[in-house]
Amino acid sequence: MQVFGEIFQRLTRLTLFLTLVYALGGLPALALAQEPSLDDINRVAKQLSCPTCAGINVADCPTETCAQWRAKIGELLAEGKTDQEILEYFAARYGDHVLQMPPTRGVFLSIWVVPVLAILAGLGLLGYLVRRWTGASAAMVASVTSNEELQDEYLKRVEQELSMWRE
Amino acid sequence: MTRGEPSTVPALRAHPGGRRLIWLIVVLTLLGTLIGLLALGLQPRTSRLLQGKPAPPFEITAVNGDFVGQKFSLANLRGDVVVLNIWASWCVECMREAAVLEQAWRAYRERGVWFIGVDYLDTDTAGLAYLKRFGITYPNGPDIGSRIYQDYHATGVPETFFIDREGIVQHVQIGPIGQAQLYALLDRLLTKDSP
Amino acid sequence: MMAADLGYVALSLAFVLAISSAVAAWWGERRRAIELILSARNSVLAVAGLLTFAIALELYLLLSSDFRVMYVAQVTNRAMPAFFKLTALWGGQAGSLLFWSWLMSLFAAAAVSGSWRRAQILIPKVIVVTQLTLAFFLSLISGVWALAASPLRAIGLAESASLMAEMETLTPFYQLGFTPADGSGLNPLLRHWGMIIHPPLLYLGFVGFVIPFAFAVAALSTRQTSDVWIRVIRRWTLVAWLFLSMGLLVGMWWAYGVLGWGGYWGWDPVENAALMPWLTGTAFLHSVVIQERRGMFKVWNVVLIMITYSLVIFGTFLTRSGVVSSVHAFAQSGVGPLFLGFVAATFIASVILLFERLDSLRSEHMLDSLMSREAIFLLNNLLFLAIFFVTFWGTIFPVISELLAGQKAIVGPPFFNQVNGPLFALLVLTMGIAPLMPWRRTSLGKLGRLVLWPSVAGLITTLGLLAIPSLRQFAVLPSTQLHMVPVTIFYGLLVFVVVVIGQEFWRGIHARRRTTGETWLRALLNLIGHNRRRYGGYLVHLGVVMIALGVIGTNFFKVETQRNLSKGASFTITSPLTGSYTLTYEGLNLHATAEDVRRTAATLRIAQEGRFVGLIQPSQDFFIPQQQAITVPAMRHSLAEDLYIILAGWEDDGTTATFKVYIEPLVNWLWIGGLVLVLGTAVAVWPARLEEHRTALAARASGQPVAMESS
Repeated sequence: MQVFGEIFQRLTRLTLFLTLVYALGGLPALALAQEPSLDDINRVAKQLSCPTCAGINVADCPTETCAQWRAKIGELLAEGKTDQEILEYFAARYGDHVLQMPPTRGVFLSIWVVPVLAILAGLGLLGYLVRRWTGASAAMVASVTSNEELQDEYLKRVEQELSMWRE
Repeated sequence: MTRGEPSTVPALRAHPGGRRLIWLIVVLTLLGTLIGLLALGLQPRTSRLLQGKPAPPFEITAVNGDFVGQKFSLANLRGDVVVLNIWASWCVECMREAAVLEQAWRAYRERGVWFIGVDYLDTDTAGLAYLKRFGITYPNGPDIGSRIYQDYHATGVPETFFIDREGIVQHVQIGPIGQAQLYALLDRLLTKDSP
Repeated sequence: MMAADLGYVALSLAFVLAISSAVAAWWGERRRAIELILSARNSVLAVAGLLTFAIALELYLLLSSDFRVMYVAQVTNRAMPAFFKLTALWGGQAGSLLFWSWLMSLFAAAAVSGSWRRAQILIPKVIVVTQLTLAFFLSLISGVWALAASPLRAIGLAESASLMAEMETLTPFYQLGFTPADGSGLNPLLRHWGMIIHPPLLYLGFVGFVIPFAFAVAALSTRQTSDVWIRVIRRWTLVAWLFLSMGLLVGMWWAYGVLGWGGYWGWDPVENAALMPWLTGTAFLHSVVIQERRGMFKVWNVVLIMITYSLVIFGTFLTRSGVVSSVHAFAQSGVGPLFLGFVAATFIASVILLFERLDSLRSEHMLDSLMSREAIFLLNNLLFLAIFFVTFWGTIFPVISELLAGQKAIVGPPFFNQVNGPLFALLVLTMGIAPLMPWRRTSLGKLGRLVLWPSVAGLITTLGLLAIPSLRQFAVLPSTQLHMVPVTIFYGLLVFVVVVIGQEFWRGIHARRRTTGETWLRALLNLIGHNRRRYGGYLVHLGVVMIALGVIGTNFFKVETQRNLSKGASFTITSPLTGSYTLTYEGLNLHATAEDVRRTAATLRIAQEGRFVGLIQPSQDFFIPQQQAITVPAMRHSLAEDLYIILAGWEDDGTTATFKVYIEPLVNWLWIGGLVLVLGTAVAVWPARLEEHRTALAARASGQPVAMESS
């Protein structure tokens, strides 16, 4: 928190300074040379969610908050910040939930981990059921990964056994 | 059917009931948990529920007036009455109460009442412009990480929390507050707790 | 006020009849009393009649602008054209629940009378399930829950009591104590024909899936788990799936054409709620084939249809055409908890029933080999379920994270795309391989021969795209793109699938010609005619390939820019496919398009590669009664791409204006693919001739597929 506070203070001062600079009409050449285009701003804004109008990204969101955020993105871009730095700034300032792509930290880690675990569990269950259904030993499953000849041979044997058993 | 037989695992055939019951219980427990979580989670949680409960801790770093750079937290304000006001510059309702809050701050400052402004979802420029426009002098700072907004279960702006000297939330105001109500609340909090 | 009172009476009567019909069917079955079952059937028909009457009354009220009826005042106003007044029937919560119930009652009546002979033993339980479901919906809109308010208050649950008391206002016939001068009117975004047909299609799909569920439960509880129920529901399931697919596609089309953000799918909770039953329903559609053919996966099929049913009920609540923007809106009225309670109760009851009846669901065959169609179908099911789970998890994650971690969460499209994208790609792969896999087992050599040409074609596509830049241009692949490699692989996959489908048609036609000596066309038509489900299915797959093409084009190669132009100024946007567009801003004009709508339209000149090709007019419509402005995108369509322009704002009466311009590569293949998909499903659903029945039965008896002998 303290670190954020400090960063925030510095940014505030910098912003104040820049606002002042703009207001006085000083340094226009420098500022203009780096002035980001609407497309640059949208590129970053697209990666942020608008917390007051759920589900819409900041580039497409018509509210005043989003307009302010876009302006802020413009300022940060003009300062030469990279997209990633700007996203980190917004995440630190307003919370991780404003990132469109959930970060892999805190509670947001689980949004990534749980589906992976569930899919693995599904695969495991499927493997178990397949083994049970085919009535074959573990060798069957293992053989799938072995080379083709072996598998062919194995399949022949299984087929033989099965046909014998069926008769 | 004959070919289906071997597919059933021997254990299952030995105790069909027992094994299946366990599975049923497992499945129902999982389902029950999910449904329970959804039922709980879907309840709209409002800040009103904080009334009568200890206020969640907060900390802000002030950005305005005499307080620039100073930190204010629930812990270091303990012993004083705290009026925690969550606002945003784009919020029209907030503007309606801005002057009232500032006036009250000046009137009650000496009597041990702290007004703390929490700026939700604003950019610094917009926040500072708002503070300047309404001439707000009590400490205000951004809600870093939207933590305060979330910990107080705010459902919008403005919301104002009246915290007594023991750190208990005595009143939650959703939407703007009027002068008469504000003064009455403060008087009540001050007399109730005065030693 | 007569009409509203009558409607109220009709709804209450329908509610009582639905319950009594369920009870009669239940008792009739236990007591083997045919009169009771007959009376239950008649009640089912009567409920359908009563609800038809109620719908007619509601339409009359909407049309006559009787604003004393709260629903009419909520969704219409005087200035609205009559057509929109009628479609406002499903423009709000109460009306759409009534509409849903009406469809449900019709479907139940059709299912009960249609299968009366074929599946008589199942009918009583089908009546029980459909009528109880219907009764639940009717309880929401007939004000019954309001009766629970005073008992609840008496036992000290004041909050629940007031929620229940509010339920009275959810009646589509609820009358205000006064007559407002005018209604508030329909949400302007819904005044579009896409939004007019989207809810009915979706609801037809939703309701359709209740029928297979009812038959599944009936089969389980009567232990009639042979394939009778599977045969009865086959067409119902396909029809439900068809409508649900159409509903989703039209919803996407509407979002693309109306919402004005250049996209068609945003993974928001409402969309997900409609997609989830589609995913599990599609899985069911596939795995049920295995039960038909091989008598396997019986438990799994029942589980799938149970999940689908629960999702349909849940989805009905979330997708009702109100304005639920987040899952949190769920609990803000009494409806949410009641829905959750109903879903929980039905799901738990079905799980218990399933466990009770596990014995009767024993598989008739084993899985012979991993190299079989059964195994591929299993994989396909796993993938559908995985996509469903990811979607479900992403949708409820905000609820879970706030509850367990006190942390707000907004789950946006990137998460879903990232996780579901690769899963969808794998699904396309199984879609390609499955038709080549014979039932039971095959050898690698056999499979290899079948896979040879499709694989060669796929590989050539991928390698060709990677190696030859001019090909890349043709396939919308700018060489600088980082994600080019996965996309070329996916293109290869699509080609693989298309060649597989082509090969299947070729083999079929060839075999027919060899044995019957028919002409090519004759052979093709007969081939489809005699195996509607198989070749209809291939057409559906072809549609899916086209849709996938559109999804890739728009997801990976969309170009967009936002420009602030003064009058006469122009700018250029480069398409990855067709060269560059130069747009020149000509000016702004204001006119009325309807009594209550003012349109501000900007005119732009389009030049393609420097040649003038036409004018385009993106605009904003201002709806006077609602004081709401919505953007109306303007589009220039072609098979290659859409040029999509939004008027984002303007200053000083149009001396400058801001535009958002998108190039949407291949987007129209989405809609074309959608049409092919619908066509394919229609072919599959079309009533089969008798001889096909016989072939299918014979095939089932011998455990062999209906396929032509392979060479």
